[in-house]
Amino acid sequence: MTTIGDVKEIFAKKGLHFEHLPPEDSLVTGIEVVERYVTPQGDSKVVLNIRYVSKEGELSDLFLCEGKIKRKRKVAPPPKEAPKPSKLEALPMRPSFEFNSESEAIAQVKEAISHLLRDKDYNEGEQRESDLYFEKLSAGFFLNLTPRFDEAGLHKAEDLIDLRMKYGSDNNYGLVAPAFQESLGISLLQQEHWLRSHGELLAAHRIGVYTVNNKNPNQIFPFTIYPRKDRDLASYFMYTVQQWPVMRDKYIEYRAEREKQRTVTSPC
Amino acid sequence: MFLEMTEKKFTSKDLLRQLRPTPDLAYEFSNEEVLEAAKYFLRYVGYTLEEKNWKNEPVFYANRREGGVTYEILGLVRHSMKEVADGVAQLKKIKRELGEKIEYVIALPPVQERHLIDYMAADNYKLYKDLRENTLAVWICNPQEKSVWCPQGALKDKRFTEYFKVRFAGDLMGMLATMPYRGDKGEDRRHIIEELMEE
Repeated sequence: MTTIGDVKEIFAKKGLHFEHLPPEDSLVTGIEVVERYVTPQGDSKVVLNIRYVSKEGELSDLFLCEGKIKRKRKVAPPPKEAPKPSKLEALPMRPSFEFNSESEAIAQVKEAISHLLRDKDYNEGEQRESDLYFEKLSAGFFLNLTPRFDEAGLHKAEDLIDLRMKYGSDNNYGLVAPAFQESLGISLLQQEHWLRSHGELLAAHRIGVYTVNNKNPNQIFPFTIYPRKDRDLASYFMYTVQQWPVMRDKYIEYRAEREKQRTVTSPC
Repeated sequence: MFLEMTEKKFTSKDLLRQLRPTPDLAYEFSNEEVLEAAKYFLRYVGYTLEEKNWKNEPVFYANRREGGVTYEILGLVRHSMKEVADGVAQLKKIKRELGEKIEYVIALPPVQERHLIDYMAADNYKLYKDLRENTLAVWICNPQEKSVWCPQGALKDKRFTEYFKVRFAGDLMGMLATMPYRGDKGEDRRHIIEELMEE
């Protein structure tokens, strides 16, 4: 049987403490929360109606307990520092934002996403229906690669929706592209328009869209959604999602500077 | 050329008169398209579709087996919120015949959220209470997006939550509590919500 001592201990573990209680060896026959109040500072005050058996027989009285309830944070806060690979060496930086060809861009995004997933304990698996396939425990990660956010890119994303229909919601699905596709024919404005037009559809089907920083393959930005169950990976994306506006501004600055230099050097 | 100015003061009522009424549907789709979207969605979640007709009414029926449990679902399509009451009446008849084991759904094209709430709240929440008492779910199907959202009702098969466009289970209470346009004051709305939850 539960005693007053047990009740005291259980509430103390939660961070709530009683001022007055009956003797600890009294048996408890019932507990009811009468009122609960949480102050703006997060302190809780709970009035309990406790029925217990003492020498005088079965009694019932109100008791106040106070304290700060220790709650587990459901979502971990984003890391304060840039996430570094924990197991593998960081990938080397590229010298410029531009790609000379589609194949160069695809090779870059393939290497970057594979490196990230390997670092987070995913293993490459055998599978022919997507460009890349990784596994961690029983969960798969189907990835398609595209050099541009265009019609072909959308088809690749739609293929992932079909794969989700086939393999179910226990797996993750993602489309990976370079972060800046201007050297491949798609302006940043068009890229963002593509995401605005199709982002909702892809998010509805839980298809993640990821872009790899053209210069730094260790930085991958998530759009739409990213896997939440894998805490390590979620923590990485929680940091990089905030870095996208910063990187975007840097790129616009770089592009303006490049245009300025072109105007200066080109003959009138 | 100058526009003629009237001496009369332009009021907010004048402004409201000039506004067009909100259309029933956010996007226009035919019943056939919605039916196909609902069937696609069921296949997407892993259900097996079976042909079923109920007194010339096109209905969709599907089932899924997992760990010794068979989930069954039957639904029909209505074009707007105006037709939902009729859908409820039909499903009640079907339910009497086919039993409680099957879950029942009314599939709609994307209706305006405002209409969704207003129709459910009309006549002292008659439609809402009807849907809840008969444990009927409402699905908003977007055939273009191939997505489904469940604004009312919860299905036994929790697998659906992974596939609905919006993850949380739908209920009018949540929408009612957060809808800013409704004229009723916060306190009145709170009482309505409390009353409905007690029922």
